[in-house]
Amino acid sequence: MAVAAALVALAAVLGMTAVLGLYGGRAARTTSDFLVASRGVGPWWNASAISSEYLSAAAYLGTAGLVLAYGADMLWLPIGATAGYILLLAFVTAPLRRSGAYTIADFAEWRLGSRTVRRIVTCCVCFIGWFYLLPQFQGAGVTLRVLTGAPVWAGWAVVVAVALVLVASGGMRSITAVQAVQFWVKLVAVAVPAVALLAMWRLDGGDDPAARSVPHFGHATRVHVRTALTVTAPADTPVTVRGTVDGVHRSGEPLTLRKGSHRIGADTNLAFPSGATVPHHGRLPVQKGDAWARPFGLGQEHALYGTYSTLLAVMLGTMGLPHILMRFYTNTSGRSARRTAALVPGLLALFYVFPALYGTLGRLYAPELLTTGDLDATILLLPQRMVPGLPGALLTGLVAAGAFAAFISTSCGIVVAIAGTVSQSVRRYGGIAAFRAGVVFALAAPLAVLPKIGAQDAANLVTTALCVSACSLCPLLVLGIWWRGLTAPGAGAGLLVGGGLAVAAGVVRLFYGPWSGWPAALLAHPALVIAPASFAVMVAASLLTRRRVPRRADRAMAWLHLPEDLDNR
Amino acid sequence: MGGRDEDGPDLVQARALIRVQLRIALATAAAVLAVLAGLPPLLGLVPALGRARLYGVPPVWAALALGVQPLWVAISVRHLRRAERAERDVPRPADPS
Repeated sequence: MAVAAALVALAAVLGMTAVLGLYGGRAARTTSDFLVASRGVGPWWNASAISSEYLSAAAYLGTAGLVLAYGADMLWLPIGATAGYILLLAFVTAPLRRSGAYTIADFAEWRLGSRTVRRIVTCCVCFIGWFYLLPQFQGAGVTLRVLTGAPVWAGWAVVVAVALVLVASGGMRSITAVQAVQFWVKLVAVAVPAVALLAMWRLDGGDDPAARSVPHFGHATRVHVRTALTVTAPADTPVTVRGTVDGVHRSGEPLTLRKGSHRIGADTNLAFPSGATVPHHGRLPVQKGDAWARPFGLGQEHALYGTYSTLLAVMLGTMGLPHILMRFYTNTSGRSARRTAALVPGLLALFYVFPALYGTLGRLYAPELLTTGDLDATILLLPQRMVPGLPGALLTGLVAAGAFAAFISTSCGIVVAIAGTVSQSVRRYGGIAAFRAGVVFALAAPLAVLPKIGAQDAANLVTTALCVSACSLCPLLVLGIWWRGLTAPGAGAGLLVGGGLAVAAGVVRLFYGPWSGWPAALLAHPALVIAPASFAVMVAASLLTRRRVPRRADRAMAWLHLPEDLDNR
Repeated sequence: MGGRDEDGPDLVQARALIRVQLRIALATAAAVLAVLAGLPPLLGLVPALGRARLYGVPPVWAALALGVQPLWVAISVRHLRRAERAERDVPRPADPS
């Protein structure tokens, strides 16, 4: 029944997307329509679209899973994300909109007068977008697999096909309508089941997730292990096994998992009795409820460094996300862009109430996710676990609809940003045809990498993208808008050092490893080191090349900051 | 984009506005950083908060999950007001005030 509900939800989201996309895109004829929807989008509509674009697979699926496994430390992620929008509002939106450029690469070229800086910015935009697309594809794969049993590539194919058709047909014009409506779809999809589940929890007697004990199975639970993994049993645990444990094949006899580490073979079924403690996946921390509910509860190695570095990456990274920045160009003026940015924290705050709630309830009702490590499935599985029968299936369908809305709106936004930036760089080869070629280019690269990287948490992948943005485009924007002394060589050096190191860290973490200790902490959360370095390089190199400050820098600064009615445009 | 280099606006006026806006933006950023830097020690230093329960929910948990976001909304609304006022206060060529 849940399978049917999920498929109906997918069909409904695709149908809604098609209708809105065609309706919005029917008038898209010019390059301006494709890139910035001809600048006619109002603050509320645009704020909904921006929030929708930002609430991707990481926010929708990832946050709840991270809260389930790591606890209060992960509540900082939503806090940092909204804080990033405040900094964006304070430092970037209105001046950036007044620059009048189409894309962030256009802005860099206009402000600094250098084709080279433009090319470097274009590369940064591509890498940020690709890192950001990976978790969207993966999230779609996980969602379809968990809910219907389909192979993971089915989910990838759905998202790629939708993005390809939607963006290539109508560009920014069709996706604005789709994204704005999908924000409200996501909010309802996450809020309605949450209220129902909260009521179930109270009716159920309300177990305390922060009780001073290791998570245990609330009732008898069957767990299917698909690929071989190592688990840590926090205590002696009774279990019935059909498959391989510690190299010995079992066919349904009961045994006891002794406290410690165990190897579970691929395609093994485990059945735990009610009240058994939950064996944890090897990479997840075993925490008692009280440590889990406390910030810096030692859930990870170097938790303090990791938390602050992630916060910085999320905050500064949000300021430099090309697909978000591009949305502000669709506003009519700097003033309305600023109003849009001021609305976004309110919309995000509404949404972010819920992922933490799912993570908390997941610890009580879906603790087997700690065994399989399938953290991204938390939100998808909870309704079926807590509400039996038809109501549970309906809630599952609702949650699945929200998840698909998340993958589709974020993917489309990123694809528009990459395709727009790349095609503007090769403008002489023709507008819309180049844009469509850029769409294919934007989707092909992550699709080629995807089969090679294995299972990754959505939130970690998005943090990598945010880190690249925090170390490259964020310093460029902040210094470019507020400091007249920025020079093209300075900006180029900072972008190469910051962006290069951040991309390298992301690639190393994806393809090599696993790492432990400080190398792991630095590779996973490099922003606290690289972002200040990137700012420093940009400032120092600009001071060294002081004679190269563009002659029209003062005029450009005035153009960025004065209200539209004051200068002669 | 055309026409921006021929007859620019009053650069002195622009410089004054940039200074005002930068001060407002830095004040907003300082408020954000104060919350982010101050909250963890506050939550860590009061261990009693970790044990207490409000309707079965630890207050630290409630503060992190629900308490900070409204603060962000308030800070962003305040910034919007101040930035728009700064822009309104720039003397317009039409009214010689």
